[in-house]
Amino acid sequence: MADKPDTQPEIAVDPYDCGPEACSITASQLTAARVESADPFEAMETYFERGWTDGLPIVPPTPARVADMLDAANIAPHEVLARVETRENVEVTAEKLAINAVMAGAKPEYMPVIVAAMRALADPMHNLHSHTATLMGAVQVAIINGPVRQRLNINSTDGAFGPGFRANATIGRALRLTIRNVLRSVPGEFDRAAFSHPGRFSWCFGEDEEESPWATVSEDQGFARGQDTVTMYATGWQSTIVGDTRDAKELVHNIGWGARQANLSGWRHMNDLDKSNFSSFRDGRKFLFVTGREHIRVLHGAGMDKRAVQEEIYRCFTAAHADLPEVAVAKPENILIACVRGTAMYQTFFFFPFHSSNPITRLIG
Amino acid sequence: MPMITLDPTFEAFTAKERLANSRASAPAPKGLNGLRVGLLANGKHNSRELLDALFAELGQVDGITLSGEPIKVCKGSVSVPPEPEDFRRLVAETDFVLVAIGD
Repeated sequence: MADKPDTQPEIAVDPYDCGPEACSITASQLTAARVESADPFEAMETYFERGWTDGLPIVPPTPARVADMLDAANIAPHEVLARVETRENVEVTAEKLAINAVMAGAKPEYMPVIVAAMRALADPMHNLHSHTATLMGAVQVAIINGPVRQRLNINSTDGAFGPGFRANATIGRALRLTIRNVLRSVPGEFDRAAFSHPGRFSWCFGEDEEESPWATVSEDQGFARGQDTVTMYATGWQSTIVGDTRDAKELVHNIGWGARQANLSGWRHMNDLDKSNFSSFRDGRKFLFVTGREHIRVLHGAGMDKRAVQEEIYRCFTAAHADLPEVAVAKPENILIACVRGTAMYQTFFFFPFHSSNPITRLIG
Repeated sequence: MPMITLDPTFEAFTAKERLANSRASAPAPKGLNGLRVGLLANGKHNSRELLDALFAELGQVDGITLSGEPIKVCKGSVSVPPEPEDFRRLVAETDFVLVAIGD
């Protein structure tokens, strides 16, 4: 510590901090209020007591760790990444995002993904205020495309929705801690969820681009293969379609009609309601399917490309039926299909969209 | 030497500066007689019915005579502000606004 300048005592390196990086220009620009603790365990307890965690332990956000996070994304602490007009103009600065990213356990190299995801969340058509306050307890899901998945070990294969993968877990958690701490989506405050959802701890996965024969979600949103992107999708709830038929037509009908049945409980999406309601998000509202390898093999093996699957599911959603109301989907392209290389199980997940939100994709970096 | 960590919250919410950030509330009207009413529904499918019922109830309260028909606005979706033109009408053509959600 002998080389530490005497002119910046407020960012003095302590035994638990990261080292000389604490003397960086970025660290000297941090303006968040300081919290003093005797050691990391006391810091963690303080953060629990103040309601600053999701109920799990956090990594203490020292100035040095936060500065490392910001430097990794080459972003200034004061840069405003999101502003929510309908929530007292709350702002998410890069500094606050980085603090929460450190707390989540993210590595600095994850920060460009987290920044891009925050910018996607901030898009007015994503409507962040709505799906972080709603009774429905909606979940914000991050879908990652591009070579960044390999660089950061973002899982897009077996187990991609579950625990055990640091990048998946901490990128999603960084966003959720930010939603909690900066946007005050705290139960009883801005979060009014009746049940809430375990996906609100974290939900981030990569799309399988290596084995999937279809265009990616990112390409469907207008980006090129090979670009690093994050797509933020707000979902009310999910269901799963499991079926081991090798008949592609039967399978796609199982998927489409299964999802339509699941939609029945999502009464806000039904066309038999007053269409003037929720109209501002209707055109861009997308219904997400995450298809596993085995289902893709059946469908692709029968010559169905993604467009054919979208059109068939669209027909299942909109065909006349005595008991099932039509799904309020605007066009076949609004059937959004992502691939995860979940092997051996003939399974597809259906993500019911949060009604007043459109998915948003942003470049990383 | 104490360990230093950083506050992860939007401090304008969580610190005393919050008050300065909050939008000022208009004073409540001293009485409702002769006032023009706006009804602002959030777009959920019972919100307009709820507001219409509330307006009708107000008309039954002794001592209250409201001015004419209400200005009715239904937002395009929940959790978004009214359209600027609707906002302008509510400000220009009403004295107070009833707001409601409805599920």
